[in-house]
Amino acid sequence: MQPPLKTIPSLPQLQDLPLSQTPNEGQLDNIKAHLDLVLLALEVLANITSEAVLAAAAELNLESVISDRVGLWRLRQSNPLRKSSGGRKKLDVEEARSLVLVICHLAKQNQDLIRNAVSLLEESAQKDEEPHRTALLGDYLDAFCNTYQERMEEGEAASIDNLSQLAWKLLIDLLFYSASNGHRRLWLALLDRSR
Amino acid sequence: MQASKSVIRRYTSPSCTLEITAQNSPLSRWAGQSLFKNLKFRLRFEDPKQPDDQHITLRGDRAQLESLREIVSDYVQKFLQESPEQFTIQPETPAELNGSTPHHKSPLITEEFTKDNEDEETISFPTVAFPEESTQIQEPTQIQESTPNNIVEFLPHSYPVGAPQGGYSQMRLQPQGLLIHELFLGSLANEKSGLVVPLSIVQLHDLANVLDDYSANAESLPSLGGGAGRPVWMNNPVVLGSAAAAVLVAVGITATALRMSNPAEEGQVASVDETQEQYYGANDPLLDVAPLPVPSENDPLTMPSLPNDLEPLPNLPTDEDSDLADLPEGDGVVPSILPPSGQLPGAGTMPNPAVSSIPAPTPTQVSPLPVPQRAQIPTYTPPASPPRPQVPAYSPPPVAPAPSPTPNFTFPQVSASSPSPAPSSSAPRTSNPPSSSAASVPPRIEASSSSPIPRSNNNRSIPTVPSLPNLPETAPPARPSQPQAPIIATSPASSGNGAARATTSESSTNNEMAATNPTAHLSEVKRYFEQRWTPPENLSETLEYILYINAEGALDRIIPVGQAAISNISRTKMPIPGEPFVSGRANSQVRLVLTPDGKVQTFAESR
Repeated sequence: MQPPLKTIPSLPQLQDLPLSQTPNEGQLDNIKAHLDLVLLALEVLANITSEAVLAAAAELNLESVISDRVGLWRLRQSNPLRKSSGGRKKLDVEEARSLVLVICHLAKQNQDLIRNAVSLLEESAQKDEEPHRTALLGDYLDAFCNTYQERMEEGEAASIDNLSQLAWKLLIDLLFYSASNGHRRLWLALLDRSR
Repeated sequence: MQASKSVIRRYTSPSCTLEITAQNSPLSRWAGQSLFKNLKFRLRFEDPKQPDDQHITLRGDRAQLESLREIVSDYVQKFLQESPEQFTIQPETPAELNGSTPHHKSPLITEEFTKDNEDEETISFPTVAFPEESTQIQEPTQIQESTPNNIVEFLPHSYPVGAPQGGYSQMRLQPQGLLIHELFLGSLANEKSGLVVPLSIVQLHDLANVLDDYSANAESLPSLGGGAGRPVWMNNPVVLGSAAAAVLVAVGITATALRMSNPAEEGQVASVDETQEQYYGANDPLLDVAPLPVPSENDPLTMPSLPNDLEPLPNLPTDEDSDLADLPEGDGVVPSILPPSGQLPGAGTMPNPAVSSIPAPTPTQVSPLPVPQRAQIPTYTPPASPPRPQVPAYSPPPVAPAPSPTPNFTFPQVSASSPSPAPSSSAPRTSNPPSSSAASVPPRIEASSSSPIPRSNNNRSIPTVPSLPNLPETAPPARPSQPQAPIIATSPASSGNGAARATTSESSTNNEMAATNPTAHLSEVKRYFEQRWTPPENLSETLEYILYINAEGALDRIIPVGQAAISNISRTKMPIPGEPFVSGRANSQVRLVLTPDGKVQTFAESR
């Protein structure tokens, strides 16, 4: 039996995201916050709408978890760093895992875009130029900063420098999350961060 | 003749390609899936901005590939876990790297980007620092100056001045800010790559992907052939040399003892095992003849008696379908026996496999390969091979002169568990019929030796160890005695051929003809190789070897000339030393030239 040259993995499953122990609330908070951020970065880069997110959830058979726009909004609002996050639905582990799958699925769909953006970032640095002078990166950075400041509790207080740094880091992270096992990477990163 | 076919897998990404070459292990049939052994990889970084000839290629065995995969995977994971602030420490320029300043903060779990961070002055990563915003950064210009060279291009010899954290010996990754990640190649370094390869994010990403893809498909045997998990000490040529010498001595002495105690005894395998075991602890086995234990076990398959140390040995014969003539390409076993070049790990390590597998006296953890596994598989001669007294494969006399400047490949074999004559693939070599007589040989050989210990078996001679299994087939004396022949014969360092070759009952009748007609002899050698020489696709250099052929028409010694010859010896289908392949001609020295376009040339060399 000759295995295929390269095995195309099937759609990522929840089972791909192991969980040895349930995160406590504090850890979950961290997870939510980071997930929100990653999704934020992806949204602004690829102009992803809620519909797209929901569609991705459907493709991954996760409608039970992320069923509609409201539900999605709630999930994201559960990020404690969001403005007015109090009282919102709390994200549980299953929802977190679902979000991970959805995010990475979307990242994969936009892999070329992400890769381009990162390449541009590298080229800018190489040429000693400001990355935001590039249209793609400039738009991304603007949208990221604006949206962040809009949504996050401490948004306005964040400096542009800090936000820029965060934006670039998230952009690079997205590149890794867009790989075929990106969901595992994201999940592990979340779990480790939360410790 | 090769029962196991080679498998090639390629994992591609835009900026790099990973190619895996391995052989299907016969164990596959029991495992129910494809299992590979002797895995070798080739990782090629393809930067479109660089001309082809500047692309860096790394080669290695499975152990190295696994290390690389793990390192990259862990590094990426760590990178993802960390907040942007973790990358704010100014990465020094290459010239400033001296390990004094941490390149990368230990990851603090600041999961969130909170407003506290804005108080930190170091927030920014230098490589993307904008000139007017670089107030917080002290060395952005320096970094940026070096950045253009580092980000995308691979500098052929890019190693920072001064030792960075961790030095260069270990394979590892180290960030330089957010956008550059230096891959310290460790044992994978070669001339073209230098010690460090700076990777851009995209390149790092692609590398991680191909490695993950490989991992997802990996079906390699843990350490059967590849050396995954092989202890570091096995890569030490000195250690291996000593180990090899120890084993040789053990084998020879054991054989002698056996012979003396029980000339008809055929269960020498086990006894050798015992002997070897004993010698593992010896610090100076070369001189330690006395303690030679009389083997008690006669069970050839007493593999369990063999400490895991010998596990790697299986590589020697490769596996039960060992094909003598088919020199195993896979080495994976002895990456570093030959220190000269970083490339060696993947190339021409045939003689080494055995060596590497020979456990040094130091008690170290050997490859995890389950010995029992072998024990269950009768066809797995490998484990038994080393102990085989017959193994001698030593190129009978020439072993002594081993200390030649070029690696002396006395025996390519590695493969054969059952070399030519006796297809006793499953049975221990001991049962090889060919070497019937020669009962008298050993004694004679013993007598003739001045020092029974192949002192001359320095590192160079290590390669001879693997050949042990093949000796039985050696035309010269009877097998059982063979083991000692080399050992003893080596000392004289003289052509010593006398003892070994004497009274070979298997002299070819053609000997006389060849002996008197050098041209015919050369032609035979040439014809032999012409029928077998298949230049590898990527071969661009001519391979040259000096063959020492004895009166029986068997190879005494093979000396590769040049690096290419060393690297490609496994492709040359060299005959097994000791196994007659042409008419005999005493003291024949032939220079063999193999060209990439398939031509074979032979020249007589004078001794």
